[in-house]
Amino acid sequence: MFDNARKQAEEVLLKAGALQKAIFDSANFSSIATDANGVIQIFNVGAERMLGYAADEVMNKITPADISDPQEVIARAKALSVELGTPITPGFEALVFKASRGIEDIYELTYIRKDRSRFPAVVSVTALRDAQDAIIGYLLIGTDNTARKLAEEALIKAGALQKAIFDSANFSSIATDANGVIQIFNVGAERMLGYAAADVMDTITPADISDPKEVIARAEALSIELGTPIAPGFEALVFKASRGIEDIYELTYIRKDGSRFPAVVSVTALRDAQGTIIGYLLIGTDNTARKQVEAEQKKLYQRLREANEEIQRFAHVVSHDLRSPLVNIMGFASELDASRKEIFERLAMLRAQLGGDPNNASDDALRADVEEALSFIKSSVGKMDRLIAALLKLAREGQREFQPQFIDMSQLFRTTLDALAYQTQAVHAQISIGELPSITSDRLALEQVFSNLMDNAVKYLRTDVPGSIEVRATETAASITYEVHDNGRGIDVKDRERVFDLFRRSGVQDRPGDGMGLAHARTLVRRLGGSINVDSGADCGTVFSVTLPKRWSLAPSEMVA
Amino acid sequence: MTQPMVIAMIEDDEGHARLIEKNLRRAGVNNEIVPLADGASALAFLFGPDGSGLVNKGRPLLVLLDLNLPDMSGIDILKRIKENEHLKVSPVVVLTTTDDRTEIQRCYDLGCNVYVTKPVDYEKFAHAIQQFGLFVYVMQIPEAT
Repeated sequence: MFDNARKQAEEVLLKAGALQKAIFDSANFSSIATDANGVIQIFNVGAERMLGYAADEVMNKITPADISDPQEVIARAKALSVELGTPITPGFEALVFKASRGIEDIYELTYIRKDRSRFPAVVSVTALRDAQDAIIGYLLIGTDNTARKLAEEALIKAGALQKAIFDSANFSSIATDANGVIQIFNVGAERMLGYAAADVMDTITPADISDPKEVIARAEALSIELGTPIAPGFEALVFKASRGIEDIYELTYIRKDGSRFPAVVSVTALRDAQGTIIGYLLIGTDNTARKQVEAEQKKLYQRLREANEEIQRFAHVVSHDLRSPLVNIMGFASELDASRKEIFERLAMLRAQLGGDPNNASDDALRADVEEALSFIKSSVGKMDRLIAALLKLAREGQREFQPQFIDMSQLFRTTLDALAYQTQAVHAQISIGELPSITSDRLALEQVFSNLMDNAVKYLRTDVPGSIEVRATETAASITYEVHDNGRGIDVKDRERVFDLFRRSGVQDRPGDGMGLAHARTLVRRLGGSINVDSGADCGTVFSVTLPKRWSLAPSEMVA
Repeated sequence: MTQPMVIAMIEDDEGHARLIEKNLRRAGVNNEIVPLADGASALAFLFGPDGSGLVNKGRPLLVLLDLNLPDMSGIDILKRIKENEHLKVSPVVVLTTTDDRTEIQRCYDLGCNVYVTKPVDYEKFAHAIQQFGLFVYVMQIPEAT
């Protein structure tokens, strides 16, 4: 009879096919087969390993209830009695009653090892039947649930936020045992990846749902980075975390239906009280939206680049096509001027030959008119040429590629001041430059901006009071504001915005300038992600403040290669 | 017998062409100046109907070249002259309104002999051309080979 049950169990297992056979042979599953009364008939290697008994010690001797927590067995008997409305004995019957009634049964239970230590197990029970469908025994397949339990505990310990993440449908939380076999697969993971938890738990590792090429590439990169060979599989996904290195990386996950999505995965090693790694927690977020934003930014940057190239071409055309006619206007006006001299000389000569007065008053008036007309033409052409040159300069500046670098701003201001030494001495100005915070930005652009502001400060000092110029700075977490204060003539309120416009100047036009400086400065500051402002009262000087990001970096498409 | 030097003036702006010629004459340059107002006529003159450049063999030739032509870039003409076995020895003077650094560099890279920017200020313009005219006056120009 006992032999019959064992044989039957083995036959059933054979019939059940390769997968179940594999489970039965596996050291990771405890497979225990009993006769109809619960006496153990088969105790596989996995059971021996997990429970610490040799098969001989239990076969034909005890039932699985004898290696289960007695209190849990009693509690289970009570609960089932209530659930099924029939009295169930607190013993082996409680462990198999549902299976004996043909109800699928998987439950959690604490197994007790030979050495009396305990571990949580998940047990799946199947009734074994003969050809007449009579029950001849039971098969209890158990897995060690320690890793999962610890993972859950670790999560609870990790606090409310992590717990919330774990419970959230927006994060895929996957916990594995130390070997990478998935133990927990939360709702977020189910939603993102399309697998039910039951599909993957105890079956696959996260490497099986990741892009295999990326896993191989990551293994190769890490092998080089860490100088140790790393296998292209689950190890590649958690190796850093296993070494206590914080690890967040991008990876393509593959859904059950074969579709793919970019994820950002953060990996944490789960450790027991002794610090031994008992599993890993991989929290992933769907990165599709961010990738789309990045692609969008890349496109925008490309368009910006094209627009800049357009400006460059425009500048080129302007420099030739607008200048060409000016050369002619200026040239022929000058030729006309030369002819004019000759004409009036000849006129005077003819008047003398005819016996008249060579200094004829109406001739003089005519000469003055022609002279005046020609001089207006010439001065206007000269002005237009300067405007074109200014426009060109602006267009070229807008096109230059910035090179962010670390800049000692106190030094930059001192250098600027040295270049203005002649002007500052001439007006006897007191200039003070405070300790200024350094910045990471484009050096040439900042030199141009601040030398323009300093130049203006010196240029527009009042002549009736001693000049004073002061440079200060304030900083926030992300930005620095540099301020140039002067006690000069100030800028009228109505001109505050206008001074930044191209070719516009404020106040009495008694100082040299082309009306380009501040327009140029504003273009540069804006390109550097900052802003420039002016503040002043009519009689208490001017304050120009330039706010810049502490670290300027290249456009997004240049960051992501 | 050596032929007199011929100046090929490739210039699309008629006004500029007149001003250049006037000032060259003022500097005492009496050589023939052939005005060529576009790329096609310039190529026809320089390389002849067969396009080989043989047509100018034995003739000392000086090329004044504006870069911005209606039908092609002066750079292309410069390139063809300097690549042509007969014309490559002929000096090419780029005379243009463009003062772009990269453009200037490119012309010298391609073998231009002098690059002059036309100033809008006529006094400077006239002076530049007359100086150049005096220079031409004393310059030894090789014959196209």
